[in-house]
Amino acid sequence: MMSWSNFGLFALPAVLAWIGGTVCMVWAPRRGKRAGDLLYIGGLLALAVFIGGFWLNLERPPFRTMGETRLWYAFFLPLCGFLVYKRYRYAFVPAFTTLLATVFIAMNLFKPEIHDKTLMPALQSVWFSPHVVIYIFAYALLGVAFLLACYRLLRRQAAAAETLAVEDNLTRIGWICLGIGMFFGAIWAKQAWGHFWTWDPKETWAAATFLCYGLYLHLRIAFPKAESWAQTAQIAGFLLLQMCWYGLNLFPALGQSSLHIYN
Amino acid sequence: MTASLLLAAGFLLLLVALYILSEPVETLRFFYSPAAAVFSTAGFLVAVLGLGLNLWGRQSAVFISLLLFFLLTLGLKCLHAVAHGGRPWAATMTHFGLFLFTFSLTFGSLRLENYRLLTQPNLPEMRALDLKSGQVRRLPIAVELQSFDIRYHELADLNHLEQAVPRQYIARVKIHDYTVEPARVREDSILVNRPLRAGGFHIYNTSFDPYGQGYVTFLLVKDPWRGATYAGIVLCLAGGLLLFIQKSRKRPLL
Repeated sequence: MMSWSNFGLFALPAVLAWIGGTVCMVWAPRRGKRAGDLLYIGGLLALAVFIGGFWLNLERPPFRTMGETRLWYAFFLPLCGFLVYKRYRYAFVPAFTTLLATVFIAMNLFKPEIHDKTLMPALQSVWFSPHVVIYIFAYALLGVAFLLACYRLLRRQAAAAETLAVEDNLTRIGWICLGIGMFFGAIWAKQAWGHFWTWDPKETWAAATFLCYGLYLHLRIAFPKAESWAQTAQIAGFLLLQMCWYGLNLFPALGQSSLHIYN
Repeated sequence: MTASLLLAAGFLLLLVALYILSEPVETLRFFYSPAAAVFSTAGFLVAVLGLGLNLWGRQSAVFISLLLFFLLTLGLKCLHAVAHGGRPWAATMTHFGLFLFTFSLTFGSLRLENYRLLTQPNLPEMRALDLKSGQVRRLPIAVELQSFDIRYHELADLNHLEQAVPRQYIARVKIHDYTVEPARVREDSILVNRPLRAGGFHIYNTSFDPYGQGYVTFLLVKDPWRGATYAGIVLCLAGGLLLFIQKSRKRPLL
């Protein structure tokens, strides 16, 4: 029986494996290559086993509580970091994603927000899993793009030109996933509530996030020389994403009428 | 109703006219340039942020004009892409899909009909509250509630129902459809996430009377433009997938 009580048994080895893998990638990029890969993949597998067992035990997809979405984020963030590392060999990306995933895991260990294991009628739909999974995947990709934007802003002179291409590609893929999540949500909303789009607070902030990342990509095309504008949009997009993800729970005045808050 | 069609047709005509005029008038070409996309996206972003922060509403002049400017540049971009053979396909498909989605929701909302219908068991009801005008109207279909069941999760303790979490609300109904001659009667059930289609309406099981007096309300929606909205979504998804499988380049392809 997999539940939050044995989360630590999987999460702590995963964190240690990711830290070990990152150390190999950063300090021994040649000799430690295989060890780094194996450690990183091992950590991902440990968390994947927990998620699988947890899902089976809950008898519903684990996407409902904030703790559960943090769990997915802690899985997808290092996965994206690892894939970016494999493709472009930037060891700082898995280092950052490991750090972020550790923070999310720590939050789940110390404040797991354990809810009951039931889904209410509005969530009984085939659209539920794809809508949430694709959003979490987008959040993870855009999280890495955000880190790259910060890195470029802080090390303007030293930053290599390729990091910008990586940021563009990550943002583009993240933006596509954001769009797919949004349109799946629109189809689901039509089925459940009768309307594709009602400017519900969650929808409003999701649209703002989508537009802001679209703005980044179009700024990169229209004004390729004005990089700081694009980076400002990238950072604003990430802040909007936080607002959309959990910010509405923090500001009841803005989110109280939302049909998307299931507490 | 026809006014909304005229508005939509007028907007499309304006797009085509502007595009044709952009051939001799060079300044008009700005409206389908990447720079115009930046300004109109930024403008619509401001409009949406204002909505999120409760600074203005959906009917406000600020919101509507920024939305229309966004639609204008997006529409011109689509026309320009189509006039040049549609390549790159992924970009044209996503732009056109997003245009169709936003356009049909914006102008389609004028033709959208929303009704709330209150039923009691075994009494056919065809009067419904028009949520736009606030008036009661007689619909061409009648809904007759036969039963309303709440299914709870299996582990729920039946002695403490107020603590149990419902799994599904099931309304068994008889629909009398007077849009056909002779009138047709059919029995079916309406679940949350599974609306019923009858007489041009989609009937949604949205709420029930929590005090157990037997009243159940349904939401009836008539959305003549929903096909266009779905088509926009499908185009966006297909274009998104194409963008995804394209090889990544030094410069993003959009």
